[in-house]
Amino acid sequence: MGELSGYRRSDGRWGVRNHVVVLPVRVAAAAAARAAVRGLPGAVVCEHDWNGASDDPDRDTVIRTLAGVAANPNVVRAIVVGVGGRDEEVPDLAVRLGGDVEYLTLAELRGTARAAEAVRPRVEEALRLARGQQREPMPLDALSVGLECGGSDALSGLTANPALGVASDRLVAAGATTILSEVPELVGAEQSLARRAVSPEVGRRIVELIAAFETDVRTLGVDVRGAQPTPGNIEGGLTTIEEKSLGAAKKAGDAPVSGVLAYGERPAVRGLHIMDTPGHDIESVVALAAGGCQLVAFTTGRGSPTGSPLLPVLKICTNSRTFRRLSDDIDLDAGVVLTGSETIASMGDRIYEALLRTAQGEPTSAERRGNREFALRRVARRSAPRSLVRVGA
Amino acid sequence: MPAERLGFRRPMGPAGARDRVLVLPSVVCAGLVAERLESDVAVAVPHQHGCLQLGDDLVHSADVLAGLGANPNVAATVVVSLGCETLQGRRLAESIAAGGRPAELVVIQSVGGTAAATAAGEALVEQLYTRHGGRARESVPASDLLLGLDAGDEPLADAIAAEAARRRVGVVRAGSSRGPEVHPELAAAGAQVIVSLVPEEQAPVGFALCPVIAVAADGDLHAALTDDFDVVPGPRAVAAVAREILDHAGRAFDGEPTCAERRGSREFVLRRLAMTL
Repeated sequence: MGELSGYRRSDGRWGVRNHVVVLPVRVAAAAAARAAVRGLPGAVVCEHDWNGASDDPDRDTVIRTLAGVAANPNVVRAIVVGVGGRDEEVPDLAVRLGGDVEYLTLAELRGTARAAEAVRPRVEEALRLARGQQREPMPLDALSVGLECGGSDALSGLTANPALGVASDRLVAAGATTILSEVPELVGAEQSLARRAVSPEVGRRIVELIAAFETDVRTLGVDVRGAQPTPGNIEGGLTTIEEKSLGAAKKAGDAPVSGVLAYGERPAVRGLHIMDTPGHDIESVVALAAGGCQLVAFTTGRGSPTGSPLLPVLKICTNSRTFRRLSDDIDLDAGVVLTGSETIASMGDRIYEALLRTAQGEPTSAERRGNREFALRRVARRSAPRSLVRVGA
Repeated sequence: MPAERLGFRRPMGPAGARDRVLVLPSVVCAGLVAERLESDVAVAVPHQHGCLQLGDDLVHSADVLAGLGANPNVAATVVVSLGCETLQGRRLAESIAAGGRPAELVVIQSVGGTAAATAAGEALVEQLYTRHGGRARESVPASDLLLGLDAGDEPLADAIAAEAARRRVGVVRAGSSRGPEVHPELAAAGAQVIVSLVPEEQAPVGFALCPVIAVAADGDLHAALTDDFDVVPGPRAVAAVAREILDHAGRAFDGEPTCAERRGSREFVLRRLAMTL
């Protein structure tokens, strides 16, 4: 299966979906965004909780992420709704990243009600534009696929992850791009990944990326084992973060590592990359979207129902028991590797083919259900709020 | 000046200004199920937390979420858990129930996924509302009102506190910061109505669980956004503005919708103290 089709964007990139996105820059613009799309199926609001404080140390990361999301190739047009002031940094950067972007503000339109009225016809216009576009034959090497896992268990490293690794290797061999995410789950796997780097420079950056994470955690002054592995991982039979990592890294197969990416950064070359994202699945998938992925392959042991407003997320289960229990929320069962009805290699081929069918337009379970989780990463350390003061009565 | 308010009496503690079943996801991954449970009688607060948090960040999120279940505006709580999350939904429901408030739990991974969890949740919302909500407003003492004050140290904030004391209305003030992330903290402390003195460069933000009285500052942005504010002080004396704000808060307690409620600004911003892993 080498044929693929998608939506060609004006800058030469390709989308596998044709979403109209309404993106509030701050939480104060969310009500206008929601009101603008009410009753307009096909338009999606990317809701988040950033309040736009100008002194927020995470401001630059948030702006870059939102701009990357607006410029994702699956987005036919993004209508960005700001409050005013520096919020324009998001649409400005999104345009530089090749996005088709409109920008409106509550300040110019004098409040939520009038802003919603002004956004709505622009959404309708974007939906007409989307409906008028046809899929065209798309080169396989234009595809960028995120490699994600969530709710891992003891079988993740034995079934779904190595099978996804086979699929990733096939994609990379065909000239496509795959991006391995979730740095906390690569702790312990850095040397084996660095040995596969295309250059000593990339190898050094892999080791540095994971060392930087370990330093950050030490700075927090807390024990990483309080959060990794999670209660669900432990119930699923995982004992340590290293065990979880060695399983998680198998999603990246055996291909050479072509580059290391910052949170939400777009790759400059094709091939396998590693992106600096947290193990928080939603923050991680949003970064993959900002980095230009059109599609995510997501392995799960405990069973995650989550999806994305921008990307089809193909869910692959590590075990047949969870798959049967959550069959409406998961697409493929890699647990069959254990019964011998599939090998890792043949399961990898099935995942590869399912990814291409998804790229062709076949909806994933998360898309059918309407899952559109969205979250922005914050890295700045903040002090706990002072206790509230109760006065009077 | 009314000496009494009209609220929803609770079996324990002060009366509520609103009467909803709270649908509380313990983790971002349970957000869709929570949203699907929203109705005329249930309010959902999808959020981005609950996964791979550590230390004081985890403690803060867990404390605030549990505190919401004890807010008087909440008739009862349905916690929606995925199952594998760091901020365990089971513990959250137990801690709300331990405080004497009705709370039930749905675990997506246990009941068989999104559809099954939605069906189970719908049944629980209905059951809890029938049992604990849906009664008429009754006269309650003015001192039942606890006003949450999202403000800095400006003179108007002190004037509001003084006016509230005169009316026997309680006030809980945010400590070090302000903005929408303070609203859940004030609600967790028991506030039924929030007054937000919005900084000049920010726009007003409503809150899912409490009416928020948005008070404008000077400057071009707020002048442009007049329709989104409940109170525009202008050049008046702070004492007069404080009286108007307290009147407004009283009416909001009794059921008058705020600007934020009318325009559908019902946000939920939970403070993040550290990176997730």
